[in-house]
Amino acid sequence: MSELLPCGACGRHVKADETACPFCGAALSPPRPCAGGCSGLAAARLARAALVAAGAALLGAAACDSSPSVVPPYGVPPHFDAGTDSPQDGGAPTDGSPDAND
Amino acid sequence: MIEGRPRSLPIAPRARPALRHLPLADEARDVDRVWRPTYAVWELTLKCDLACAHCGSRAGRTRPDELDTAECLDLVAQMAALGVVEVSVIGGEAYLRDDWLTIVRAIHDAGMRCSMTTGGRGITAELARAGAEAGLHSTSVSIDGNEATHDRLRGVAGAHRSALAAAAHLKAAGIGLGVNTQINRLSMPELPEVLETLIALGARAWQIQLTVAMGRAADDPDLLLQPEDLLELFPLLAKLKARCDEARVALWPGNNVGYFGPYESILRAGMQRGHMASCGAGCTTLGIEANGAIKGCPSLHTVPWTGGNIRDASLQDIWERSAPLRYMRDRTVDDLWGYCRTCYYADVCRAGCTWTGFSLFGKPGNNPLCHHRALEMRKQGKRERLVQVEAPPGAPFDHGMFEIVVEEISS
Repeated sequence: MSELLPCGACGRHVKADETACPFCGAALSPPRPCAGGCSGLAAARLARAALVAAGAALLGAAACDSSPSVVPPYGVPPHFDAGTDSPQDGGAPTDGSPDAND
Repeated sequence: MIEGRPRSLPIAPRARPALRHLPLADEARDVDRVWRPTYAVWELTLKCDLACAHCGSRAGRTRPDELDTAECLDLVAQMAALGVVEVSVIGGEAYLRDDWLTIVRAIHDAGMRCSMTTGGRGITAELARAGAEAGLHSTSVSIDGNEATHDRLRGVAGAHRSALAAAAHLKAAGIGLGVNTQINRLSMPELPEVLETLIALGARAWQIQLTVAMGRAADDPDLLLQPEDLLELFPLLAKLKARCDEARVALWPGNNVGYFGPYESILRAGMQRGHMASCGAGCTTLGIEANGAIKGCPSLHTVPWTGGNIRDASLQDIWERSAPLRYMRDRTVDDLWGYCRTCYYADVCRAGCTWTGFSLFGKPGNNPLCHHRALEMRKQGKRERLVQVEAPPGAPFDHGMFEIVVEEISS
């Protein structure tokens, strides 16, 4: 499965080995190692995501985590903490399922 | 005009008995043991007190063969043993089962988090307190528009008011409060209003999903978004995400909201990869019908996606050895067709939501309800339009058939 990183110019996700964004044509910086021990590709995501206006901080925080995303089925985010202000991203290994028209 | 079943009755057909004694492979493979369900969504009953126009399961009447309390408690123990972290109880309406609090308590006592998705019509202050006492951790109340739109979609006058009241009762009882919203042609213009409503309610999460052409929703295809509508929807969602951040509401796009357009990084910023990663059915997600039918995702159609019944085999055996639950573990680009087969994101997305695509075409592997795809079409001066060519037969979890018409965009 391809690793995808957001283009710093247009925000579209592009394959990590691209040297130019196939959507906007912007040059993409080559992957570089991460001091935290994550993959170079993830580090590149950090660099590129910093240029994406919204959501950059959250992306960066997650960049060193190799676990895939979690999508909450049925409206309750996973690891939703009833006592705090926001749900916390969980550790489940992949996206969840969609929601039934329930 | 499609020839087929009349659009009116029955609103709530009687479900057929569960499929039984389905085949299982002789052995589990390594990959079947690697994947474990962390999230289970459990239809406790098909009985419902609403009559939603978009209801995929055509809920209303109790199934003829729903699990009894002892069977439910045994299933709770099996889920815990298999590693499930959270169980969402749904319906119909979960609280219409007399023993729902016993089941909630068992889930909690087994060390799993219990949440509930509800239309909220029957949730009183007393019921909410009882849920909290039993260990109900969080709830998601369905709100689909302003009062008129919500009541029309939910099929009951006063449904909006009762949903708001339920949300207030649940919050007062100390249960975590989220809201979920169907996105369709009626609700889409009202999404900003829905967001302000849920902020005022004190909800901390908002889950959104596209209405899918299953069950009653397929009876009224004019309700459904067309692929071209996503070009308007996604910029709107990006604006609403900013408002969510400001109000400290977590926006959670369901797995059929996508994929990989210019707003993916924004909408899925809070997720670990920062983007979606295909369908989790049978990988981390488990769906259970009230009669013990086990699926990889609660939304998927009973046929052909039931892997087995808990009355015939253990949950672990069905999870590891049934072909329908193995499907997403094994899906590759070679299983895709149409545009999705050739898409730039094919090997990551793998046609996105299996349920959405299957509901349209009766086979998985192609999903035109995709923002990236709509953008690429527009770049070529084209758009895709979904045309229903076969009405659904009128059974729970059924679907019709659609065709894709590719049109030139005129000036």
